[in-house]
Amino acid sequence: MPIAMSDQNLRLTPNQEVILAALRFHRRYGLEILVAIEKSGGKQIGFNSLYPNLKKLEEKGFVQSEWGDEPPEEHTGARRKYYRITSTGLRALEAKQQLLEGVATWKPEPKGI
Amino acid sequence: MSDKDFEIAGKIGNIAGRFTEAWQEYQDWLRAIISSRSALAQCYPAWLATYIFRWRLLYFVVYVGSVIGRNQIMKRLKQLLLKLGLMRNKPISASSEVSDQSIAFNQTDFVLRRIATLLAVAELTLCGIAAATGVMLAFYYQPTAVGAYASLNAIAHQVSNGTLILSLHNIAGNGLIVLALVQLVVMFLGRRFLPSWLTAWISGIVLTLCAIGLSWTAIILNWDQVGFWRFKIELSIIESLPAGLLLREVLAGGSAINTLTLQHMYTLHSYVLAIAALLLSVTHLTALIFQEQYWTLQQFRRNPWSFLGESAIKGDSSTS
Repeated sequence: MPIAMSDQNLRLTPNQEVILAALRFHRRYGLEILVAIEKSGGKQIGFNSLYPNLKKLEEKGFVQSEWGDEPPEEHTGARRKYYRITSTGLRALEAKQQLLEGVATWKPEPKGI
Repeated sequence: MSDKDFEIAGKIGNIAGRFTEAWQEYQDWLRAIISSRSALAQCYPAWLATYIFRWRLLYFVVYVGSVIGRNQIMKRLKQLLLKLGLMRNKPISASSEVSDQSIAFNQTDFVLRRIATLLAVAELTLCGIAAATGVMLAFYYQPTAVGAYASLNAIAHQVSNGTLILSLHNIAGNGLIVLALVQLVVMFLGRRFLPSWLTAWISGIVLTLCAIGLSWTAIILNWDQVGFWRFKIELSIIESLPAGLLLREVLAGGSAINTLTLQHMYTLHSYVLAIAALLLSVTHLTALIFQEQYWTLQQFRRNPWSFLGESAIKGDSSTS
């Protein structure tokens, strides 16, 4: 039962998976994540779905955010946030990759003659 | 990109800044919208870039607005429940931070679960009222083209408390639709894919459909001008559906609207849908009670101390 629960907690949507992958080796801010995905030819994520997904990942503990050193934006006073993947996020990403690998290498059991 | 766009963004920033919690969470999104303007201007013609920029601002406003609205509603509900004594102000537990956090995390779910259960009780009550008043009405109601209007008129004016019974029946029926719809929203917000939740969710949806069906089958039962013509139009709409002709025949009992139609609708209203609604509301409430029990058990397993009074904990510590 605990294993099933943890598996369920590590579930990722396709968008969340791509976002986590973009954060795997670098801390990035939101726009940078979008650019990284776009430039690497990955699955496109809508601008409007990026931040809600980041908040969900943060709530699940897969990423953590920190304020950037840049000065606030002049018109709105909004500050920039950088996102960093956590060890739980890495585990979720690995679980997803293992699942894909498992699916790719699965073979039907040979039946007796 | 015109200065007007920056002005709009500035105003949005000012308003959002008043809600500290949401602003802390989402200000980087607004900054990203503004930072992306140069890239938009390079990729698209000016009018399209402005359109996309404003669309992003609008989406931000709607999303963050809904988050702020939801937080405010939850805060108010929490205050209300605290005032009514349905929720504990502070978790009574051994003073460990972990248990405090887990309870705080579950408080929203707890509120939603409790609201869902209370709504299910209200739904069952309304169903009961509608059924009881429906039986009373059936004593005098005549489901015939000649007698329907006259019998309802007699119930309203000659039978003692007839108007009260008729009004209660109408209010309970309409109230059931409203509560069932609200319940769907509450259950969606507190969704947990457990068998009990799923049972309550499905029975809730079918109950909503039943309540709407009950209201629909009652249209013609009054046998007045509004009901007759409304029913006629709706039958024509049904007829335009695939296999609509057959459906119309089954519902109306032929191509005309007459006593047979009234009897069909009366049968569906009183025997099929009413009984289904009663059974469904009982199932719905039972499933939600099971859900409450499940989560109480989970809470106990996670933190048994919260089920002991503070005095008991103090008593233990003083004796040890």
